[in-house]
Amino acid sequence: MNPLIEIKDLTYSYHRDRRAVSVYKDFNLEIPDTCRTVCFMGPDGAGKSTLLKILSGVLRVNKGTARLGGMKPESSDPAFTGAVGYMSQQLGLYGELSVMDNLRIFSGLRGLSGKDADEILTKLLERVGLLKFRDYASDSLSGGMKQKLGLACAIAASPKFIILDEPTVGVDPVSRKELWAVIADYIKESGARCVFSSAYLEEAAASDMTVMLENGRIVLKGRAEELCQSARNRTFCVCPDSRIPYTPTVRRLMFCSRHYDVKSPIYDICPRLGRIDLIAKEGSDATEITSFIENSLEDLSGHFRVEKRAPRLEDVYILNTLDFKHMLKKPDLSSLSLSHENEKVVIDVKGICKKFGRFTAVRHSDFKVRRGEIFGLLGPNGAGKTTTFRMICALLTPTEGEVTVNGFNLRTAKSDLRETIGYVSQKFSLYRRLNSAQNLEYFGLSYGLSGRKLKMRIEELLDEFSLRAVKDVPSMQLPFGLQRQLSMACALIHRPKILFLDEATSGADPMARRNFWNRICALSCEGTSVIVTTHFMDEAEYCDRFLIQDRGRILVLGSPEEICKREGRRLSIEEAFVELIAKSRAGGDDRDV
Amino acid sequence: MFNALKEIFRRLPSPRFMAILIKKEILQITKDRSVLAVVLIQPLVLVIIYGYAIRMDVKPIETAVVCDYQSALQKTLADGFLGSAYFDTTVVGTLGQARDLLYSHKVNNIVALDPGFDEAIAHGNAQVMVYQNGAEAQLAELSRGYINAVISQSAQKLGAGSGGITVVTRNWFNEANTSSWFLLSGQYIAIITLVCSFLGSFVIAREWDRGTMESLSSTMSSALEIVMSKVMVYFILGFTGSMITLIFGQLFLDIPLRGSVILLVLLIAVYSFEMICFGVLISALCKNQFLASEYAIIIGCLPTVLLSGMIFDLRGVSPGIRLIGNLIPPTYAVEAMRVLFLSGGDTLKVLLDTLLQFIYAVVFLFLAVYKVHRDCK
Repeated sequence: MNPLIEIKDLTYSYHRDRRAVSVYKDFNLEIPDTCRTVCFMGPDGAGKSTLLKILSGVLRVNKGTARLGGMKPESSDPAFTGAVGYMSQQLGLYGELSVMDNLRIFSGLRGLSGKDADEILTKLLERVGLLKFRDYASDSLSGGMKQKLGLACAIAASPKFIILDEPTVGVDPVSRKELWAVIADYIKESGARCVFSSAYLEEAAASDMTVMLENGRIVLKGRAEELCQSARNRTFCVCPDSRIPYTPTVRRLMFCSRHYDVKSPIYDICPRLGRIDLIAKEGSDATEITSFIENSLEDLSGHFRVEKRAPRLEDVYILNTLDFKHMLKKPDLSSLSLSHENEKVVIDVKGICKKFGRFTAVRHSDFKVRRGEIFGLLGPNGAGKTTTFRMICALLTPTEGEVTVNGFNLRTAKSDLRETIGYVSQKFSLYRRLNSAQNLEYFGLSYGLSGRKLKMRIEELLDEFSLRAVKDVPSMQLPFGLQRQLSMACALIHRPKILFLDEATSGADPMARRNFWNRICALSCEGTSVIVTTHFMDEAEYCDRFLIQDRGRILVLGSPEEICKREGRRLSIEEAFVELIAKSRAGGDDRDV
Repeated sequence: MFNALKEIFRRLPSPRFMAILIKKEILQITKDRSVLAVVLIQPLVLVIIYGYAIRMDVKPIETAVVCDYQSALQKTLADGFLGSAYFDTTVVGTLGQARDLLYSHKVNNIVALDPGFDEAIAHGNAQVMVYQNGAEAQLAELSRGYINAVISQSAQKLGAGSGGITVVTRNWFNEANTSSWFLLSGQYIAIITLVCSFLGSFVIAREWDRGTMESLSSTMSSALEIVMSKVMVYFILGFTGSMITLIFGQLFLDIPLRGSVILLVLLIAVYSFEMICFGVLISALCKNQFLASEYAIIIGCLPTVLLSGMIFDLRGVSPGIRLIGNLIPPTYAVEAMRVLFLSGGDTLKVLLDTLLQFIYAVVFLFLAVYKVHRDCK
C-alpha cells in the first residue's frame, strides 16, 4: 500500500518583489495510509496552505518529489485531479452563480456525469442543508453556508482524497459541527482520506495524525494522545473558590506568568471552564506554584487550590511555540477593580435596531459597557454582530434607538468621539506600502498627535508590539501575525479609552491568540474598555461579560460564570452557545418577519 | 516550443468539459450585465464620438467672395460658394471690403476673381486669387482643398474644362473630402480593438482575482479547455459588438462601401477573434483585472490609433516608429478596411491581410493557453 503522503527533499519558494521567498527547503514527510484524517497546524506563514496546494497539484514544486497516495500531484493529469477534491481557503466559488450551478460546474469538471448526476447533487445539497438555497447566488450565503458549499463542491464527484484548507475558518460553532459531520460521513461512506489544515486544535486532536509546522519545518508529528505525553507533568489548573471573583483573578494571575516575571514557574495561563489552566516550568509541582501565587497575590491565599490536569493538544502546541525573548511590561494594576459594577458607563446602547430594506439585521439591542470592561459579542454567522459593532463604532447609523459613548450621543457628535475610540478591523486595512513606523506616524498625525509626543509614542509602541526589528519593512511584506500587531499598535496610538476589535483573531494560531489576549487584558487593567467579536468561543472566557446574539436578537447577556453554569456543572462556552442557539431556533423561524 | 505544444495538447479538449465551461461563461455573462454594456453601448458611443466629434474637417469656414456680379461666370462661381455647406460665404463688392473682414477675423479666406475673368476663361488662363489667414495653418490647408473643389466644380458647370482655371484639384474616392469617411473606415478597427481586447482582458484575470483559478486548477479541465471556452464565448460577444459598430456606423455616417460585404464581415470576424485572443493573453499575463484592462488600452488600443496609419500616415513618421507600425497587426487591418471601403479593389490584398490577422490570433491564443498551463496546470 502506498503511503498517504510521501514527500522527499521538497523545496519550494516563490517570488515577491523580485525576491525569492523560501517556504520549504529539503522538506521530508511520510504519513502511512492507515491515517484517514491528517491535520496540519501551525502559526501564520508556517507553510500549511502551500503544502496543501502542492499536494493537490495547484502549485508546482521547485525540487524534490511529493506523492499523494502514490500519485504525483499534477493538475494537468485527469487521473490525479479526478481522484482529489480540493477546497481552497478562499473557496474559489463563482459568487454570482447559484448554489446549484456552482455545484454542477465543479462536480462536472471533477468528472461527475451521467443522468443521475443531478439527483446525486440534490441529495448532497440536502445533506449539507443547502437545498432550500439551491437557487441563491453563492455570494448571498452566510460564511458558514459558503464553506458548506465549498465542501460539497470538493466531495461531489466522490474523490478518494479530500484536501481542505482551513475548512472551518470564520465559521460559528454550530456550522462547524455540521461541517465536520458531513466530512466524517463522507470519509466513512467512501473510505476516502482527508488532509486538512486548521487553527482549531480540537479538530487537530480529533484527527488520526497531527503535523505541526513552523517556518517550513515539522515541529511535531504524531497522534494527539502521543503528542500530549510530552506535556505530561507540566499542566495544572487553579481552581478559585466562589468567594473570589473569577475574571479579575484571571487577569491578575496572567501578569504573574513568566512573560512578566523572570522568576515565575508559570509559563502560560488560560481561563477555561471556570478554572484557570496553566502550564508550568519543567519540574515544578503544585506546591511550588501555590506558594508562588500566594507570594505574588497575597489576598488570594486560601481561596484557591492548584491541581494537576490532563494535558491537551493546545498545551503541547503552546509549549512548542513559547519563547521569552520579549519580556512584557506588567501593567499598572492599582486601578484594577474587582468588580465593574460601580465603574462609569462608557457605552450605553439603548434599543438599537437596524433594518436593511425589509431585512432586520439587529432588533432592539440594549446593553452597557463599563470602564475597563472586556465585552464580547458572540453569535453565529449572520447574527448581526458586525452590524451591532459598526453601529457602536459610529460606522453605521441605527434605524431606531440610540448609542451614547462617553456621554456623547452618536447621532450628533460623531467626530468628537473619534479620538476616544480605536478600531481594528477583521481585514488588514493599513497602508500596505508604508512601513510600520510610517503607518504609525500617519495614524498618529491623523489623530492629532505631533512632534516629540508622537515620536515618543511611536518608539514606545514599536517596543511594546515587538515591531522594532521590522520597522522599515513595508507592511504588506510582514507575516500575518506581525500585521495584526501593527494594526493593534495603530489603533492604540492615541491611547483610546475604548477599543473595538472585530474578529481580530480570525485565523490566528493559539500562541498568537495568547499574546493578543495578554495585551487586551493589560489594556483593560489600565482602564480601557474593549469590545470584541470572535469565532473562538473559548476566548469569551477572558471577557468580563459577553452576549450571544442570533438573528438580530440578544439571547443572553452576562459573565461567563452566569451563562455557563448549569445545575452546578460548568459548560464550556461552546457547549452553552450551541445549546442556546438550538433552543432559540427551535422556537420558530421568524427571521424575515 | 515543441515541448510546450506537447504539454498543452497532452489531452485533446473533451466536449463534456468544454460544454460545462462554456455554459459557465454564458451563465456568468447573464448575471453580469456590465459585459453586455461593453458590447452594446460602447460601440454606439464610440461610433458617435469618432463619426461626429473627431473630424478633421472644419465647416463651415467663413469666406468672403469678391464679386460684383458683372458677369454670368462670376455669378456661377459665387453661387458655387454660397451653395456649399463647407463655406459660410459673404459676398462683397470690392477687395478692400473683403480685406477689412479678414483683418477683423470675420472671415478666414478671400476668394477674389480677376477683373478680366470671363475673357481669361475664354483664353484658358483664368486665375482665382485666394487670400488666406495664414495664422491658422491647418485651417488654411483645409480651406485650400475645399476652395479648389468648389472652383473646379463651377468650372465644369461653365464648361471651361480642366484647363480653364489655373488650380484644379480632384479627389479620387472621396469627392466630398469628408475626412470622417477616410478616418472612420480605419476607426472601425480602433473601436473593435477597444471593445474586444477590453472584453478579453477581464476573463482570466477575474478568475485569479476571485481565487476561482485555483479551484479550476484542481479540477480535471485542461488549460486549453479553460482558455478555449472563454475565447469561444467572448468571441461571439465581441463579434456581435463589432457588427453593431459596423451597422451603427453605416446607419449614421453612411460611408460608401465599395468592396465585398462578405470579405468585410470575414475581416471583422477574424479581427475580433484576434483582439479577443490578445485581451485573453494580457489577462493571463497580468492576473489582475485592473492591470489587464489598463494594458489592453495602453498596448492594445493606443498603438492601433497612433501607429497603424489610421490617423497619421505611416509614410510620414520616423523610420523607427514606422517599423513598429509595420509590425503591429492593426496596421494591416486598417489597410484592408480602407481597400474594402474606399476603393473596393485588390481582393488578394484583403485576403492576405485577413490571413495575417488570423496568424496573429493563433499565436496570441497559443501563448495565452501556454501561460495558463504554466501557471496553474
